[in-house]
Amino acid sequence: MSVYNAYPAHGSNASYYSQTHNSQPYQQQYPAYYTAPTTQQQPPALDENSFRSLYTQRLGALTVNSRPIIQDLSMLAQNYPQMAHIVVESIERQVRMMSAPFKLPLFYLLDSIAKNAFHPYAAAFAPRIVRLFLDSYHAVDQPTQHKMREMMATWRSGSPDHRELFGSAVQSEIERVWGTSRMPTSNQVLTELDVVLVQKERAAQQNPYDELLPRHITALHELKRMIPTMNTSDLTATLTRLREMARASVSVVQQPPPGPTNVPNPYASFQAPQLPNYPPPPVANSFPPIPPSGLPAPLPATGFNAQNIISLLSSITSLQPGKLSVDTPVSVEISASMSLEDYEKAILQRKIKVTSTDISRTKPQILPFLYIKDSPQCNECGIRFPAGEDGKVKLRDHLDQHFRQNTKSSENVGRGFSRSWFVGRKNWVSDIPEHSLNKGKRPLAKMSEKQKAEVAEATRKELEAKYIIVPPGEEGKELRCAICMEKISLEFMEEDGDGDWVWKNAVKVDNKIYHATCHHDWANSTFNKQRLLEGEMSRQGTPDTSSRMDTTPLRLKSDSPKTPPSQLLSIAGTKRKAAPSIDTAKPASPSSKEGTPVVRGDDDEPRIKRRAIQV
Amino acid sequence: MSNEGGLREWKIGPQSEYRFEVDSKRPIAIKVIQGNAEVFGSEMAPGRMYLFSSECKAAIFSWEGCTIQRLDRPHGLPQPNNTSDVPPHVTGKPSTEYLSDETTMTAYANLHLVFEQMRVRSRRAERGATPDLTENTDTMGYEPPRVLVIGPEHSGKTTACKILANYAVRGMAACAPVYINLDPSDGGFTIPGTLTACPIDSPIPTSSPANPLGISATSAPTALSSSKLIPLVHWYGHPDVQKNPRLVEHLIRVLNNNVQERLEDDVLSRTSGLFIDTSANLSSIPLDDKYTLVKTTVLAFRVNMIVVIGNEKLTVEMQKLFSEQSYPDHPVTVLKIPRSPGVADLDAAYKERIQNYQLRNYFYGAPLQLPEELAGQSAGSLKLGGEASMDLTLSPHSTVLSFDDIHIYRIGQESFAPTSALPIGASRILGEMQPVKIDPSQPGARIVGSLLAVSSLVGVPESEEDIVDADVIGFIVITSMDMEAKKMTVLAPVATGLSGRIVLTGSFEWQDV
Repeated sequence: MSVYNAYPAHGSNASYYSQTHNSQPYQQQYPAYYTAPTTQQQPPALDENSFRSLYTQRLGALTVNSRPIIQDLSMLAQNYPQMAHIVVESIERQVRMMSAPFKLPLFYLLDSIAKNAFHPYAAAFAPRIVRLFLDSYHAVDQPTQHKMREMMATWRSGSPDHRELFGSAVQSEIERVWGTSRMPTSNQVLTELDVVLVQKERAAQQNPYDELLPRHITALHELKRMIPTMNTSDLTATLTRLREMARASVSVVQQPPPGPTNVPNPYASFQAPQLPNYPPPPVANSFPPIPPSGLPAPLPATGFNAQNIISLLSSITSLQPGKLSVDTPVSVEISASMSLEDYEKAILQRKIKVTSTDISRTKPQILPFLYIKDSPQCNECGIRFPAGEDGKVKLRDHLDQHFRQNTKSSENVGRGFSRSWFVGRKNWVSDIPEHSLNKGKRPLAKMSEKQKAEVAEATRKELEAKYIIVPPGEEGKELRCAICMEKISLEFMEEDGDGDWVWKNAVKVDNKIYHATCHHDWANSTFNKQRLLEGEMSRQGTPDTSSRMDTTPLRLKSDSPKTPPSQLLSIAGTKRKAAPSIDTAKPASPSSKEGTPVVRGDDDEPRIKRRAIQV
Repeated sequence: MSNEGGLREWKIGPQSEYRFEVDSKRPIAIKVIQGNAEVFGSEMAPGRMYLFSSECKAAIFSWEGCTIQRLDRPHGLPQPNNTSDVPPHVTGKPSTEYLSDETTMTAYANLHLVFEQMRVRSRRAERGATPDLTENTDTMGYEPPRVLVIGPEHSGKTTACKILANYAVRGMAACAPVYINLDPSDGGFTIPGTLTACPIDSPIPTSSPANPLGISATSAPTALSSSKLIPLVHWYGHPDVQKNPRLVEHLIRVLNNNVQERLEDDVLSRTSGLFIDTSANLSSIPLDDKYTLVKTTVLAFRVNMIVVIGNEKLTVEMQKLFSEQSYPDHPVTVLKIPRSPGVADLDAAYKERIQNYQLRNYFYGAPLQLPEELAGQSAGSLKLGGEASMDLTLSPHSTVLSFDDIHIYRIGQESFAPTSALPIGASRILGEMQPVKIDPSQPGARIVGSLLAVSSLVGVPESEEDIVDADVIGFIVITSMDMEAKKMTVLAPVATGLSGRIVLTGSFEWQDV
């Protein structure tokens, strides 16, 4: 409901972000209100006098822009609508009483109460607000004036039905003071633009999938840059458009339901009036009119035409958010002329949640990327190419190929073509188009043998260090690795005086326990599962089918860059260390043959590499 | 939807599609005259004639609306004379055609965005660029999308993979995802019975189910890389995964090893990710448990995205199976997307016909099939769109080989006689991956008419596993045998290169008619 939480998004006020706010102490001071503001408690009955003293006392604490205090006071006001006159009176007195630096937080409170507890407070404030606002406005310093104008701009659509918060008469009276209703100054337009911008940015945060909002925001930023150079008629037109937008966007942004739970939380990021880093005030002390030259230096004027921007704004305000829009994007130009970096950036900036619901329901944002504007396109087959010289060259080559194919196929009518043999594994893995090759580093493949051995050693150590805590009562149970069928060794591991029996070098996958090293080898190999199964089968009756494994000739010396034999052997060696008790009572399972790491390791990657050498 | 001058016009609304099913002998021709349209993610060139044939069931989709024209018989035109087997009253008209605004393209567009973000991040990480924290960090990590698509039968898995792959290659950045087909009932890049992988760097057109994923390389001149694909092909030999799931499981691992080896050097493909198309059976296999093959695939290819099409239960079970607890080092995101209401239910007979088209297409290519209205015109004069509809006529070779020239193996147990016919007490226990040598001169070998896969192995294999592990370079059919002379006639795509080869049988037979 309030726009305050988004105020710091103003470009010129970025310094707010870095400032700490002072809400912490107050949280402790009013724990009851702060920690449980959501509970609908029946407010205790209070008579006018005790309410007045309570409220005045708390109001006294509001000397900085503190969200909890403002929340607290808003809720109090909201819970006692019958005390509206006291609240209004107390606030007015406090505003008048406090010196200039402390007035702004009180206005934020007033604003919060009027917006959240519209009835009866807005009406109660209305008769006094013009005087109070203007008196205070003249008293405060320039940054605070700016803030007050911003706040005032939100009143234009601050009521629950998005009309003037305190009625149109009050609004125009306040605005008339600096001539806003007739001849807009660029500063005023800027202020209002900021307000709209903030609304849009908030809306964009709430509806990250809305495709229109980012465009609006970009357009507004463009507009902001243009304002200082605009003439009066442009300014008036812009202002009209902005007000329309403000109204439209307020009605679009989903408002949380009213109630004490939704007292605005935004004040926290605000600060007391003294702002050390605040940029030079854009507003001159006298008004109207405010000379545009007092503005912070705008970006140099670009080729944009102000009228274009306005028509742009009008075109986007007329679009209904929520309705699918696949039109060519207006403001965020995704066109063939963008660079690859811009393309990547634009892709990453689209927000999408990776959930089934969002994938199926979110409005597609990718379309401009699928039909990239102005991208060179082959008119024969519809393929698009990237923009720029690169794309042009590609398109030319592509068209050449079409031409060649067309002439060739007409020349060759009737001549026999045939399906080619597939290239075969060896060529398939190595014949890679030039542009696909890695020109830069090759982290793993370029490692020396020594480095690889080190990496392998590290991996092995890591695997061996894995353990599973033995479930209580199972210490006596003999556990065998489901791959090598050998015992998994049991150790007592002491930790901080407390100890557990653990199975060393063990991992649990799918409820089966393996040697960590065995499982790693297995997972990186391909033939082994089958071999294991066949081995089991052979035990059941046909030893000859597994004996074929023995006939496998000794592996050729491998120059595999992936898995040097030394590593495999070392794994095998240490595995025995980890599981030293080889079960000899296993006659049907000649462990030298199947399942043991020696064979398995040997059977790993080099087999494939070897073929590559031999073919 | 007017019919004037032999053209029937359809206005396709935004996010709607025109679905059609083509009759076997009546190809249709469609032209986009206004707006942008795409067929399964592959954009149609405006004003170009696109042909659809061989019982093609497809849809022309438009994001923003478009107008298409379908060639139709003008009223009052005399019947053509050259109606050999086409009923005279119907021409160039699909058996079914309708417009629908119920599509699932939104889900694909969003999936594509997610994948594209992952690719961008992966490319940047590859370049060593520092991550930009201001950008959307919802999509995980720096891994490219390695996507497994699963779902029940007729849920549109292949179409999903195709759309996503076509979108991937359409961005501004170069992209070449590897498309992996683990569905042996669909030929994909080549013929059925295979498990294949192929990097895709240009859109895959759709024109006929005879070559659903483009055309593998031929000696004919081609302009598009989708017409000269270079797949890696492993022979499984059966249309159904259930027949020998152990072999499928093993081949998945072998295929993965080869793919990984290529990706080590192929940075473009590595950062573009994978799309893995599967058969419905992959998630219901009677192995250790029914998801064994899915698990194998996910772990082997390091799949990080599982897209389940239109099945709640499967989605939940996948989420459970690949939960963080089970695989802490291997995060897998499971996403469910709805099944497109446009997916046509295919009966077994249709699937068989498609497999036949694909086999024929392998040897003979896909000759231009024109609607009757266009009969007699040359492809050049028609301004056809793309290349899938080019006149690709291939001439296979018939060669006589001696029995000793090739070594025929069958992988896995397939008894020559039922077990009950063996002597009492005898049992045949052959490993599912045991290569068994077949002697064509034995009576009972019954290999005439069989489709054989030619292994890439040259010379005597060092071990039996080499035979199983080897990829294949092509396919031949034994058309006749002369037992006395110990010779056989084979139909091969190319005349040379067969002698001394190991060839593998399967359960496919093909009559060259």
